Amino acid sequence: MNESFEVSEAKSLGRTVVLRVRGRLDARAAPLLMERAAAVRANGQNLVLNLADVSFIGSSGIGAVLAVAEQFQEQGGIVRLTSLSTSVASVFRLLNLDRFLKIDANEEESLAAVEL
Amino acid sequence: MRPSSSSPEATRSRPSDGGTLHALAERDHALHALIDLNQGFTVTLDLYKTVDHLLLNLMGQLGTSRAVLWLLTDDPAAPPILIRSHGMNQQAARVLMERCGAQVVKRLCQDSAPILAAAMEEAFGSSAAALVRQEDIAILAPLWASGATLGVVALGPGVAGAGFQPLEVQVLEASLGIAGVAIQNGESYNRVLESSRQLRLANEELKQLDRKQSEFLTNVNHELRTPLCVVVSSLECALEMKQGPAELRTLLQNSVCQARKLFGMVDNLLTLSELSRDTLSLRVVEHDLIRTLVRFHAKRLPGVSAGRRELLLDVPPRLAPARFDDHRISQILDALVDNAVKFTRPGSRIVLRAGEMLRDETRWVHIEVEDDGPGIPADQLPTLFDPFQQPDGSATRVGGMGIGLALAHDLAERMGGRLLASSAPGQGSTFTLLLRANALGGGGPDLDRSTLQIETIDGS
Repeated sequence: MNESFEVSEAKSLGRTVVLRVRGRLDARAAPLLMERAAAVRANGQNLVLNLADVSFIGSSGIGAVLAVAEQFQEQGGIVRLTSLSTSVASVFRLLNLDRFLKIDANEEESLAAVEL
Repeated sequence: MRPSSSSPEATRSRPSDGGTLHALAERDHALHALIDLNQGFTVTLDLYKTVDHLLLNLMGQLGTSRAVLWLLTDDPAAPPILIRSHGMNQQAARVLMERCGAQVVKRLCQDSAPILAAAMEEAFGSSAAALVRQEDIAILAPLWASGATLGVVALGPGVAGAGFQPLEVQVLEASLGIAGVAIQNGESYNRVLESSRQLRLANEELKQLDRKQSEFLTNVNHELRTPLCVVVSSLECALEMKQGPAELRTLLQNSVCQARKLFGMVDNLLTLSELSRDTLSLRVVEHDLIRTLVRFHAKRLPGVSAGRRELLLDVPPRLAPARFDDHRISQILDALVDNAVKFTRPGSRIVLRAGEMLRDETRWVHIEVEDDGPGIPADQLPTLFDPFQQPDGSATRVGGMGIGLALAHDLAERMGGRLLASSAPGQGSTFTLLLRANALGGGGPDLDRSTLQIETIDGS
């Protein structure tokens, strides 16, 4: 339960930033993810969220991802999710979130899609 | 990207890997949502962070990108206050509750259960339901605790385009019950913290008052006993009748002088008491200030000179008539001159100066009491006119009961005037008494008598 949570900037290409998320994306971690995403949005950049190392995603974490997607959309920005871990993919599938969120197999695909 | 809510009650489509497994996964998700909710409430007691957590949790729980929370106020007529909105424009969220908050709150308080889009028309009426639909809200639910509705939560449709399942609505209801208790507890806790802070401040003030009272009693004891001792011992000597007429006269003069001093102190204490009880009656009429000052200067000159201080009077040939109480102005001037004497060394100079001035669009006659003493540090000026306050912060260094300047200040204000102080260390002090002026020959502006909050006797 005390597994650490990290959000690190993996790369920044043009107007797009890739954030890699690691650990449990739960109630404690959700505000941090929103804070980091808000900073990207404040710079007018697009966002690719790499969720490969997310070991668990709770309701607050899912809510945070949806809120980030909604905020970027409202301001004309783009968010793409990439490399979903098994636990994330199964919850997203359960809630059919793939109909709303743009999900790619890897960072390259996401970056290519953002640049289009 | 936002899905249509045209069929909000539709059941979410299930994958083909078996209904049982899917149902189990949904229960697992619901259970984790409640665990996540509970976990978040252990992190903070702040209202806004708690609400943020609740809304994110509900969004993840139900797969929606829109969640809003309003809290009810103590005023039943006021619309609920918007606390947080995710995915809905804040202004739109405010307007929505202003326009249909009353119907929504009434129904939610009545039912204490979430209301889904299909039931809104029946629940709130067609116009309110239309407003809610316009904001793409799929569900409105009460936030409740201890049997009372605390607020309203609105949620958008699921982003997958499906409606909410019965289990999801039940979990939502349970979540809002848990959240209501958490928010209520947080608010109670924060109120207790605030009350404790205010009690601590009040306690500190009481301690300070208690300290000042003790200092005051010590000073009164000292100040009243000293002249009484002189009076008693002088009279005892006189009773022995061994002295000649000249010595006897000196003893009696000492007694009279100290008795007058006592009389003045008692008079000041009584005046202060009357001021604090708001029972002091003043006779504010027009006076010739020059005549009053000349008389006052003559009265105080012998005593001040005897203390080796020069008391100068500097008045112009003519002054506009001023409005004041003749008896109380002597108390004010006595306090200012006593203060100057107390804080200057022998050899110092004290000047009584009079003139006219315009300030705050009002015409004033002013009296300055200026000394060339050590001056007052800037940090002591703000509390200079507080009762029982010695300018150097100690109760005993220069003696006195610490009421003279407070009394002078209050009396000046009660007469419709002002008492100001200006000073700097090493540059002496100047106390300026402002009195409302009447123009000479009636040519100046009229006094605004409405500002006088005391009994006035108009000379005309």
